[in-house]
Amino acid sequence: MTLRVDLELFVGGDTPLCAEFAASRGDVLLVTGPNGSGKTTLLRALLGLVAPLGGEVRWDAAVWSSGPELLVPSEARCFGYVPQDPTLFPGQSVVENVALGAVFRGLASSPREDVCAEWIEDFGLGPLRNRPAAKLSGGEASRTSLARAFASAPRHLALDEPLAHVAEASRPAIVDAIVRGLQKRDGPHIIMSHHPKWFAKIAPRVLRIENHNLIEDQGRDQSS
Amino acid sequence: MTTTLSTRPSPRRWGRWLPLLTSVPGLMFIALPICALIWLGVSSEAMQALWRPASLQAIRVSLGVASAATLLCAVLGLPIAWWLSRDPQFGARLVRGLAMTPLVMPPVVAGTGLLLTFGRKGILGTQLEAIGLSISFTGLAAILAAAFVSMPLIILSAEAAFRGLSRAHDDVARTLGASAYVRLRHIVIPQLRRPLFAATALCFGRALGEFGATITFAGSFPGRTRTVPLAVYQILQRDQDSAVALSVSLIVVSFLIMILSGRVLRSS
Repeated sequence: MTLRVDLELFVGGDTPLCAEFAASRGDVLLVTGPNGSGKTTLLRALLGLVAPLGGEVRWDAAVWSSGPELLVPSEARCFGYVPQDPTLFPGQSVVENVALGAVFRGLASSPREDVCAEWIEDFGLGPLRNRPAAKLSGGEASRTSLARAFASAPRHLALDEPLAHVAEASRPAIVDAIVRGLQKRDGPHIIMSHHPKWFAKIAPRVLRIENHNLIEDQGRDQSS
Repeated sequence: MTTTLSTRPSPRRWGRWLPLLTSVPGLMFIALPICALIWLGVSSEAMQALWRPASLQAIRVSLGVASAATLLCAVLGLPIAWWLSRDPQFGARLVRGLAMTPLVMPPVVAGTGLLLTFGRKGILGTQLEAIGLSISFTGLAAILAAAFVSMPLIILSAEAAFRGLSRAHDDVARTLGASAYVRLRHIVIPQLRRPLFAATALCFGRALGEFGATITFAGSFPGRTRTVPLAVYQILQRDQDSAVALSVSLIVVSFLIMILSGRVLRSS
Protein backbone atom coordinates (compact mmCIF):
# COMPACT_ATOMS: atom_id res chain seq x y z
CA MET A 1 0.00 0.00 0.00
CA THR A 2 1.81 3.09 -1.20
CA LEU A 3 0.88 6.72 -1.48
CA ARG A 4 2.60 8.21 -4.51
CA VAL A 5 2.60 11.96 -4.83
CA ASP A 6 3.92 13.99 -7.72
CA LEU A 7 2.26 17.40 -7.61
CA GLU A 8 2.58 20.91 -8.92
CA LEU A 9 0.76 23.38 -6.71
CA PHE A 10 -0.11 27.04 -6.90
CA VAL A 11 1.24 28.71 -3.78
CA GLY A 12 1.05 32.34 -4.87
CA GLY A 13 3.61 34.00 -7.13
CA ASP A 14 4.84 32.67 -10.44
CA THR A 15 6.70 29.54 -9.36
CA PRO A 16 4.63 26.51 -8.43
CA LEU A 17 5.58 24.21 -5.58
CA CYS A 18 6.83 20.83 -6.80
CA ALA A 19 6.27 17.99 -4.38
CA GLU A 20 7.27 14.43 -5.14
CA PHE A 21 7.43 11.59 -2.67
CA ALA A 22 6.19 8.10 -1.95
CA ALA A 23 5.18 6.79 1.44
CA SER A 24 4.03 3.40 2.67
CA ARG A 25 2.03 2.01 5.52
CA GLY A 26 3.49 2.96 8.86
CA ASP A 27 5.41 5.94 7.52
CA VAL A 28 5.11 9.28 9.26
CA LEU A 29 6.16 12.24 7.14
CA LEU A 30 7.05 15.47 8.83
CA VAL A 31 7.09 18.47 6.52
CA THR A 32 8.79 21.68 7.57
CA GLY A 33 9.39 24.92 5.74
CA PRO A 34 9.05 28.65 6.16
CA ASN A 35 5.65 30.31 6.49
CA GLY A 36 3.99 30.77 3.13
CA SER A 37 6.08 28.07 1.47
CA GLY A 38 2.98 26.00 0.76
CA LYS A 39 2.80 23.42 3.57
CA THR A 40 -0.92 23.90 4.09
CA THR A 41 -1.59 23.92 0.34
CA LEU A 42 0.27 20.63 -0.06
CA LEU A 43 -1.77 19.10 2.75
CA ARG A 44 -5.05 20.38 1.32
CA ALA A 45 -4.15 19.02 -2.10
CA LEU A 46 -3.60 15.57 -0.58
CA LEU A 47 -6.97 15.86 1.13
CA GLY A 48 -8.64 16.84 -2.13
CA LEU A 49 -9.68 20.24 -0.81
CA VAL A 50 -7.75 22.23 -3.39
CA ALA A 51 -7.11 21.41 -7.04
CA PRO A 52 -3.45 21.04 -8.03
CA LEU A 53 -2.00 22.69 -11.13
CA GLY A 54 -0.80 19.33 -12.37
CA GLY A 55 0.69 16.00 -11.46
CA GLU A 56 -0.85 12.99 -9.82
CA VAL A 57 -1.73 11.47 -6.46
CA ARG A 58 -2.16 7.70 -6.25
CA TRP A 59 -3.04 5.42 -3.40
CA ASP A 60 -2.02 2.01 -4.68
CA ALA A 61 -4.02 1.46 -7.85
CA ALA A 62 -6.50 4.27 -7.17
CA VAL A 63 -5.78 7.62 -8.80
CA TRP A 64 -6.93 10.34 -6.38
CA SER A 65 -6.14 13.25 -8.65
CA SER A 66 -4.77 13.59 -12.12
CA GLY A 67 -3.75 16.98 -13.43
CA PRO A 68 -6.11 19.56 -12.00
CA GLU A 69 -8.90 17.02 -11.70
CA LEU A 70 -9.93 15.60 -8.35
CA LEU A 71 -11.04 12.05 -9.09
CA VAL A 72 -11.64 10.84 -5.54
CA PRO A 73 -13.52 13.30 -3.28
CA SER A 74 -12.20 14.27 0.15
CA GLU A 75 -14.97 12.23 1.78
CA ALA A 76 -13.53 9.02 0.33
CA ARG A 77 -9.81 9.58 0.96
CA CYS A 78 -9.95 8.36 4.57
CA PHE A 79 -7.92 11.23 5.96
CA GLY A 80 -8.38 12.55 9.47
CA TYR A 81 -7.71 16.26 9.10
CA VAL A 82 -6.58 18.61 11.82
CA PRO A 83 -6.45 22.10 10.31
CA GLN A 84 -4.17 24.79 11.66
CA ASP A 85 -7.15 26.53 13.19
CA PRO A 86 -9.14 23.98 15.25
CA THR A 87 -12.38 24.78 13.32
CA LEU A 88 -14.80 23.31 15.83
CA PHE A 89 -18.54 23.73 15.56
CA PRO A 90 -19.04 26.41 18.21
CA GLY A 91 -22.61 25.57 19.21
CA GLN A 92 -21.79 21.95 19.95
CA SER A 93 -20.10 20.40 22.95
CA VAL A 94 -16.72 18.70 23.00
CA VAL A 95 -18.30 15.23 22.77
CA GLU A 96 -20.57 16.30 19.93
CA ASN A 97 -17.61 17.69 18.01
CA VAL A 98 -15.50 14.60 18.55
CA ALA A 99 -18.35 12.34 17.42
CA LEU A 100 -19.05 14.30 14.23
CA GLY A 101 -17.28 11.82 11.99
CA ALA A 102 -19.56 9.01 13.12
CA VAL A 103 -22.64 11.21 12.77
CA PHE A 104 -21.66 12.46 9.31
CA ARG A 105 -20.92 8.97 8.05
CA GLY A 106 -24.29 7.84 9.35
CA LEU A 107 -22.82 5.37 11.85
CA ALA A 108 -24.57 7.05 14.73
CA SER A 109 -27.73 9.11 14.68
CA SER A 110 -26.71 11.08 17.75
CA PRO A 111 -23.31 11.66 19.34
CA ARG A 112 -22.57 8.40 21.14
CA GLU A 113 -19.98 8.18 23.83
CA ASP A 114 -18.71 4.76 22.81
CA VAL A 115 -17.66 6.03 19.42
CA CYS A 116 -15.25 8.50 20.87
CA ALA A 117 -14.70 7.69 24.56
CA GLU A 118 -11.22 6.35 23.85
CA TRP A 119 -10.10 9.57 22.18
CA ILE A 120 -11.77 11.83 24.73
CA GLU A 121 -9.67 10.07 27.37
CA ASP A 122 -6.47 10.03 25.33
CA PHE A 123 -6.53 13.75 24.73
CA GLY A 124 -7.48 14.54 28.31
CA LEU A 125 -10.89 15.92 27.42
CA GLY A 126 -12.86 13.97 30.03
CA PRO A 127 -13.56 16.90 32.35
CA LEU A 128 -14.48 19.12 29.38
CA ARG A 129 -16.74 16.67 27.58
CA ASN A 130 -19.94 18.68 27.91
CA ARG A 131 -18.46 22.13 27.50
CA PRO A 132 -19.56 24.09 24.40
CA ALA A 133 -16.74 24.37 21.89
CA ALA A 134 -17.07 28.15 21.88
CA LYS A 135 -15.91 28.24 25.50
CA LEU A 136 -12.66 26.30 25.07
CA SER A 137 -9.16 27.75 25.28
CA GLY A 138 -6.86 27.48 22.27
CA GLY A 139 -5.12 24.40 23.60
CA GLU A 140 -8.38 22.68 24.58
CA ALA A 141 -9.81 23.39 21.14
CA SER A 142 -6.70 21.91 19.50
CA ARG A 143 -7.05 18.74 21.58
CA THR A 144 -10.74 18.48 20.62
CA SER A 145 -9.86 18.93 16.96
CA LEU A 146 -7.23 16.16 17.24
CA ALA A 147 -9.63 13.80 19.03
CA ARG A 148 -12.24 14.47 16.36
CA ALA A 149 -9.84 13.57 13.55
CA PHE A 150 -8.74 10.32 15.24
CA ALA A 151 -12.29 9.36 16.21
CA SER A 152 -13.48 9.49 12.62
CA ALA A 153 -11.57 6.22 12.14
CA PRO A 154 -9.39 7.36 9.25
CA ARG A 155 -6.63 5.39 7.56
CA HIS A 156 -4.33 8.43 7.37
CA LEU A 157 -3.87 11.47 9.57
CA ALA A 158 -3.06 14.91 8.23
CA LEU A 159 -2.03 17.28 11.00
CA ASP A 160 -1.37 20.94 10.20
CA GLU A 161 0.68 22.53 12.99
CA PRO A 162 -1.06 20.52 15.72
CA LEU A 163 0.95 22.23 18.47
CA ALA A 164 0.45 25.82 17.28
CA HIS A 165 -2.17 26.75 19.88
CA VAL A 166 -0.83 24.52 22.64
CA ALA A 167 1.17 25.93 25.56
CA GLU A 168 4.73 24.66 25.88
CA ALA A 169 3.97 22.90 29.18
CA SER A 170 1.17 20.72 27.83
CA ARG A 171 2.92 19.74 24.61
CA PRO A 172 4.59 16.50 25.82
CA ALA A 173 1.26 14.96 26.87
CA ILE A 174 -0.40 15.89 23.59
CA VAL A 175 2.51 14.64 21.52
CA ASP A 176 2.30 11.32 23.43
CA ALA A 177 -1.40 11.08 22.64
CA ILE A 178 -0.74 11.89 18.97
CA VAL A 179 2.01 9.28 18.75
CA ARG A 180 -0.18 6.60 20.33
CA GLY A 181 -2.98 7.55 17.96
CA LEU A 182 -0.79 7.44 14.86
CA GLN A 183 0.36 3.95 15.77
CA LYS A 184 -3.23 2.74 15.91
CA ARG A 185 -3.87 3.93 12.35
CA ASP A 186 -2.32 2.43 9.22
CA GLY A 187 -0.83 5.50 7.63
CA PRO A 188 1.11 6.90 5.96
CA HIS A 189 0.53 10.01 8.06
CA ILE A 190 1.59 13.56 7.37
CA ILE A 191 2.42 16.25 9.92
CA MET A 192 3.17 19.84 9.02
CA SER A 193 5.16 21.40 11.82
CA HIS A 194 7.69 24.03 12.76
CA HIS A 195 8.69 21.81 15.68
CA PRO A 196 10.23 18.61 14.29
CA LYS A 197 11.97 17.87 17.59
CA TRP A 198 8.67 17.20 19.33
CA PHE A 199 7.97 14.31 17.02
CA ALA A 200 11.45 12.77 17.12
CA LYS A 201 10.27 9.71 19.03
CA ILE A 202 8.15 8.44 16.15
CA ALA A 203 11.21 8.74 13.92
CA PRO A 204 9.46 10.52 11.11
CA ARG A 205 10.84 11.03 7.66
CA VAL A 206 11.60 14.73 7.57
CA LEU A 207 10.92 16.70 4.40
CA ARG A 208 11.68 20.37 3.88
CA ILE A 209 10.19 22.85 1.45
CA GLU A 210 13.05 24.83 -0.02
CA ASN A 211 12.90 27.10 -3.06
CA HIS A 212 9.59 25.67 -4.20
CA ASN A 213 10.77 22.10 -3.93
CA LEU A 214 10.10 19.38 -1.41
CA ILE A 215 13.39 17.85 -0.31
CA GLU A 216 13.83 14.83 1.94
CA ASP A 217 16.50 14.96 4.64
CA GLN A 218 18.33 11.73 3.99
CA GLY A 219 20.10 11.65 7.36
CA ARG A 220 16.77 11.92 9.22
CA ASP A 221 18.26 14.91 10.93
CA GLN A 222 15.96 16.22 13.65
CA SER A 223 18.28 18.79 15.13
CA SER A 224 16.34 21.86 13.95
CA MET B 1 5.69 58.17 10.14
CA THR B 2 5.89 60.49 13.08
CA THR B 3 2.20 61.26 13.43
CA THR B 4 0.12 58.89 15.47
CA LEU B 5 -3.60 58.52 15.66
CA SER B 6 -4.79 58.72 19.21
CA THR B 7 -8.04 57.05 20.13
CA ARG B 8 -7.82 58.00 23.79
CA PRO B 9 -10.45 60.45 25.04
CA SER B 10 -9.24 63.99 24.98
CA PRO B 11 -8.21 65.22 28.42
CA ARG B 12 -10.09 68.47 27.80
CA ARG B 13 -13.63 68.44 29.06
CA TRP B 14 -15.36 69.90 26.02
CA GLY B 15 -13.51 67.47 23.80
CA ARG B 16 -15.07 64.62 25.69
CA TRP B 17 -18.62 65.88 25.36
CA LEU B 18 -18.28 67.31 21.88
CA PRO B 19 -19.33 64.15 20.00
CA LEU B 20 -22.49 63.84 22.07
CA LEU B 21 -23.32 67.56 21.89
CA THR B 22 -22.98 67.67 18.13
CA SER B 23 -25.20 64.60 17.86
CA VAL B 24 -28.11 66.18 19.74
CA PRO B 25 -29.64 68.15 16.82
CA GLY B 26 -29.61 65.02 14.63
CA LEU B 27 -31.16 62.87 17.34
CA MET B 28 -33.87 65.47 17.93
CA PHE B 29 -34.56 65.61 14.22
CA ILE B 30 -35.25 61.86 14.22
CA ALA B 31 -36.99 61.63 17.58
CA LEU B 32 -39.41 64.58 17.38
CA PRO B 33 -41.56 63.41 14.45
CA ILE B 34 -41.74 59.91 15.94
CA CYS B 35 -42.72 61.36 19.31
CA ALA B 36 -45.35 63.60 17.71
CA LEU B 37 -46.91 60.57 16.00
CA ILE B 38 -46.90 58.46 19.13
CA TRP B 39 -48.14 61.36 21.26
CA LEU B 40 -51.13 61.91 18.98
CA GLY B 41 -51.48 58.21 18.23
CA VAL B 42 -52.14 57.14 21.79
CA SER B 43 -55.06 59.56 22.09
CA SER B 44 -58.41 57.83 22.44
CA GLU B 45 -59.76 59.32 19.18
CA ALA B 46 -56.88 57.85 17.23
CA MET B 47 -57.21 54.51 19.01
CA GLN B 48 -60.86 54.34 17.97
CA ALA B 49 -60.03 55.40 14.42
CA LEU B 50 -57.70 52.42 14.09
CA TRP B 51 -60.65 50.02 14.35
CA ARG B 52 -62.61 51.63 11.53
CA PRO B 53 -63.11 49.21 8.62
CA ALA B 54 -61.10 51.40 6.23
CA SER B 55 -58.09 51.36 8.56
CA LEU B 56 -58.23 47.63 9.16
CA GLN B 57 -58.61 47.06 5.44
CA ALA B 58 -55.49 49.11 4.69
CA ILE B 59 -53.52 47.18 7.31
CA ARG B 60 -54.71 43.89 5.83
CA VAL B 61 -53.71 44.97 2.31
CA SER B 62 -50.33 46.18 3.55
CA LEU B 63 -49.48 42.97 5.38
CA GLY B 64 -50.58 40.84 2.44
CA VAL B 65 -48.73 42.89 -0.16
CA ALA B 66 -45.53 43.11 1.90
CA SER B 67 -45.55 39.36 2.66
CA ALA B 68 -46.06 38.42 -0.98
CA ALA B 69 -43.42 40.94 -2.09
CA THR B 70 -40.93 39.53 0.42
CA LEU B 71 -41.57 36.02 -0.85
CA LEU B 72 -41.09 37.19 -4.42
CA CYS B 73 -37.87 38.99 -3.47
CA ALA B 74 -36.55 35.85 -1.79
CA VAL B 75 -37.33 33.68 -4.81
CA LEU B 76 -35.87 36.15 -7.32
CA GLY B 77 -33.15 37.75 -5.19
CA LEU B 78 -31.48 34.86 -3.38
CA PRO B 79 -30.09 33.25 -6.56
CA ILE B 80 -28.57 36.62 -7.55
CA ALA B 81 -27.03 37.00 -4.09
CA TRP B 82 -25.71 33.46 -4.25
CA TRP B 83 -24.20 34.03 -7.67
CA LEU B 84 -22.59 37.34 -6.65
CA SER B 85 -21.12 35.74 -3.53
CA ARG B 86 -19.19 33.30 -5.72
CA ASP B 87 -17.19 36.18 -7.22
CA PRO B 88 -18.22 35.52 -10.82
CA GLN B 89 -15.54 36.37 -13.35
CA PHE B 90 -17.82 38.20 -15.74
CA GLY B 91 -20.56 40.71 -15.16
CA ALA B 92 -20.39 40.92 -11.38
CA ARG B 93 -19.93 44.67 -11.36
CA LEU B 94 -22.69 45.21 -13.89
CA VAL B 95 -25.11 42.91 -12.08
CA ARG B 96 -24.38 44.42 -8.69
CA GLY B 97 -24.92 47.91 -10.12
CA LEU B 98 -28.17 46.82 -11.71
CA ALA B 99 -29.37 45.11 -8.56
CA MET B 100 -28.66 48.21 -6.48
CA THR B 101 -30.36 50.65 -8.86
CA PRO B 102 -33.87 50.39 -7.32
CA LEU B 103 -32.32 51.54 -4.05
CA VAL B 104 -31.29 54.93 -5.42
CA MET B 105 -34.04 55.28 -8.01
CA PRO B 106 -36.97 57.53 -7.07
CA PRO B 107 -39.88 55.12 -6.40
CA VAL B 108 -42.19 57.10 -8.71
CA VAL B 109 -39.73 56.47 -11.52
CA ALA B 110 -39.66 52.79 -10.58
CA GLY B 111 -43.46 52.73 -10.79
CA THR B 112 -43.34 54.38 -14.20
CA GLY B 113 -40.85 51.77 -15.37
CA LEU B 114 -43.09 48.96 -14.14
CA LEU B 115 -46.06 50.57 -15.90
CA LEU B 116 -44.09 50.79 -19.15
CA THR B 117 -43.18 47.11 -18.83
CA PHE B 118 -46.21 45.34 -17.40
CA GLY B 119 -48.86 48.00 -18.06
CA ARG B 120 -51.55 47.59 -20.70
CA LYS B 121 -49.49 49.62 -23.20
CA GLY B 122 -46.16 48.40 -21.83
CA ILE B 123 -43.64 46.29 -23.71
CA LEU B 124 -45.07 43.07 -22.27
CA GLY B 125 -48.63 44.44 -22.12
CA THR B 126 -50.01 42.83 -25.27
CA GLN B 127 -48.48 39.44 -24.50
CA LEU B 128 -49.87 39.54 -20.97
CA GLU B 129 -53.23 40.65 -22.30
CA ALA B 130 -53.20 37.71 -24.72
CA ILE B 131 -53.03 35.26 -21.84
CA GLY B 132 -55.74 37.20 -20.05
CA LEU B 133 -53.48 38.89 -17.53
CA SER B 134 -53.91 42.58 -16.80
CA ILE B 135 -51.53 43.56 -14.07
CA SER B 136 -51.51 47.33 -13.64
CA PHE B 137 -53.77 48.72 -10.90
CA THR B 138 -54.33 45.28 -9.32
CA GLY B 139 -53.11 43.73 -6.12
CA LEU B 140 -50.45 41.94 -8.13
CA ALA B 141 -49.16 45.34 -9.30
CA ALA B 142 -48.84 46.48 -5.69
CA ILE B 143 -46.85 43.33 -4.94
CA LEU B 144 -44.55 43.85 -7.93
CA ALA B 145 -44.01 47.51 -7.00
CA ALA B 146 -43.08 46.66 -3.41
CA ALA B 147 -40.85 43.79 -4.54
CA PHE B 148 -39.06 45.97 -7.09
CA VAL B 149 -37.95 48.54 -4.53
CA SER B 150 -37.09 45.94 -1.83
CA MET B 151 -35.01 43.58 -3.96
CA PRO B 152 -31.68 45.38 -3.44
CA LEU B 153 -31.94 44.96 0.32
CA ILE B 154 -32.35 41.19 0.22
CA ILE B 155 -29.64 40.83 -2.43
CA LEU B 156 -27.17 42.95 -0.45
CA SER B 157 -27.69 41.27 2.90
CA ALA B 158 -28.02 37.74 1.54
CA GLU B 159 -24.80 38.15 -0.43
CA ALA B 160 -23.05 39.07 2.81
CA ALA B 161 -24.63 36.01 4.45
CA PHE B 162 -23.42 33.68 1.68
CA ARG B 163 -19.95 35.20 1.86
CA GLY B 164 -19.89 34.66 5.61
CA LEU B 165 -20.22 30.90 5.18
CA SER B 166 -17.17 29.21 6.65
CA ARG B 167 -15.14 27.37 4.02
CA ALA B 168 -12.99 25.87 6.78
CA HIS B 169 -15.93 24.12 8.46
CA ASP B 170 -17.10 22.78 5.13
CA ASP B 171 -13.62 21.38 4.47
CA VAL B 172 -13.38 19.67 7.85
CA ALA B 173 -16.85 18.21 7.42
CA ARG B 174 -15.84 16.75 4.06
CA THR B 175 -12.84 14.98 5.58
CA LEU B 176 -15.16 13.67 8.29
CA GLY B 177 -17.20 12.02 5.56
CA ALA B 178 -20.09 14.46 5.23
CA SER B 179 -21.90 14.23 1.89
CA ALA B 180 -23.11 17.35 0.12
CA TYR B 181 -26.58 16.86 1.60
CA VAL B 182 -25.23 16.40 5.13
CA ARG B 183 -23.07 19.52 4.81
CA LEU B 184 -26.04 21.54 3.57
CA ARG B 185 -28.19 20.37 6.45
CA HIS B 186 -25.64 20.48 9.27
CA ILE B 187 -23.37 23.33 8.24
CA VAL B 188 -24.80 25.61 5.57
CA ILE B 189 -28.39 25.98 6.73
CA PRO B 190 -27.61 26.54 10.43
CA GLN B 191 -25.14 29.25 9.44
CA LEU B 192 -27.55 30.94 7.04
CA ARG B 193 -30.70 30.83 9.15
CA ARG B 194 -30.01 33.94 11.18
CA PRO B 195 -28.60 36.29 8.52
CA LEU B 196 -31.25 35.24 5.99
CA PHE B 197 -34.00 35.93 8.50
CA ALA B 198 -32.52 39.38 9.08
CA ALA B 199 -32.34 39.95 5.32
CA THR B 200 -35.98 38.93 4.94
CA ALA B 201 -37.07 41.18 7.80
CA LEU B 202 -35.27 44.14 6.25
CA CYS B 203 -36.93 43.42 2.92
CA PHE B 204 -40.36 43.12 4.56
CA GLY B 205 -39.86 46.43 6.36
CA ARG B 206 -38.99 48.23 3.12
CA ALA B 207 -41.91 46.63 1.28
CA LEU B 208 -44.28 47.73 4.03
CA GLY B 209 -43.34 51.39 3.58
CA GLU B 210 -43.50 51.47 -0.20
CA PHE B 211 -45.47 54.42 -1.59
CA GLY B 212 -44.26 56.01 -4.83
CA ALA B 213 -44.00 52.97 -7.05
CA THR B 214 -47.27 51.58 -5.70
CA ILE B 215 -49.35 54.68 -6.37
CA THR B 216 -47.88 55.00 -9.87
CA PHE B 217 -48.21 51.39 -10.95
CA ALA B 218 -51.00 50.04 -8.76
CA GLY B 219 -53.05 53.08 -7.89
CA SER B 220 -54.93 53.40 -4.63
CA PHE B 221 -57.97 51.13 -4.65
CA PRO B 222 -59.37 50.39 -1.21
CA GLY B 223 -59.15 46.70 -0.36
CA ARG B 224 -56.85 45.88 -3.28
CA THR B 225 -53.92 48.26 -3.59
CA ARG B 226 -54.51 50.88 -0.89
CA THR B 227 -51.73 50.01 1.56
CA VAL B 228 -51.24 51.83 4.84
CA PRO B 229 -48.86 54.50 3.46
CA LEU B 230 -51.32 55.26 0.63
CA ALA B 231 -54.24 55.37 3.06
CA VAL B 232 -52.35 57.74 5.36
CA TYR B 233 -51.60 60.06 2.50
CA GLN B 234 -55.18 59.92 1.21
CA ILE B 235 -56.96 60.63 4.49
CA LEU B 236 -54.52 62.95 6.23
CA GLN B 237 -56.39 66.10 5.10
CA ARG B 238 -59.88 65.07 6.17
CA ASP B 239 -59.36 62.53 8.96
CA GLN B 240 -56.19 63.21 10.90
CA ASP B 241 -57.07 60.71 13.64
CA SER B 242 -57.16 57.75 11.29
CA ALA B 243 -53.99 58.91 9.52
CA VAL B 244 -52.14 59.15 12.82
CA ALA B 245 -53.48 55.82 14.05
CA LEU B 246 -52.40 54.06 10.87
CA SER B 247 -48.97 55.70 11.02
CA VAL B 248 -48.50 54.50 14.55
CA SER B 249 -49.57 51.01 13.54
CA LEU B 250 -46.78 51.02 10.93
CA ILE B 251 -44.26 52.19 13.54
CA VAL B 252 -45.41 49.40 15.85
CA VAL B 253 -45.08 46.77 13.11
CA SER B 254 -41.60 48.07 12.21
CA PHE B 255 -40.60 47.89 15.85
CA LEU B 256 -41.97 44.36 16.14
CA ILE B 257 -39.90 43.32 13.13
CA MET B 258 -36.80 44.82 14.70
CA ILE B 259 -37.40 43.13 18.04
CA LEU B 260 -38.33 39.82 16.47
CA SER B 261 -35.28 39.70 14.21
CA GLY B 262 -33.12 40.79 17.13
CA ARG B 263 -34.53 37.99 19.28
CA VAL B 264 -34.04 35.41 16.55
CA LEU B 265 -30.49 36.66 16.07
CA ARG B 266 -29.69 36.23 19.72
CA SER B 267 -31.45 32.99 20.46
CA SER B 268 -30.28 30.71 17.67
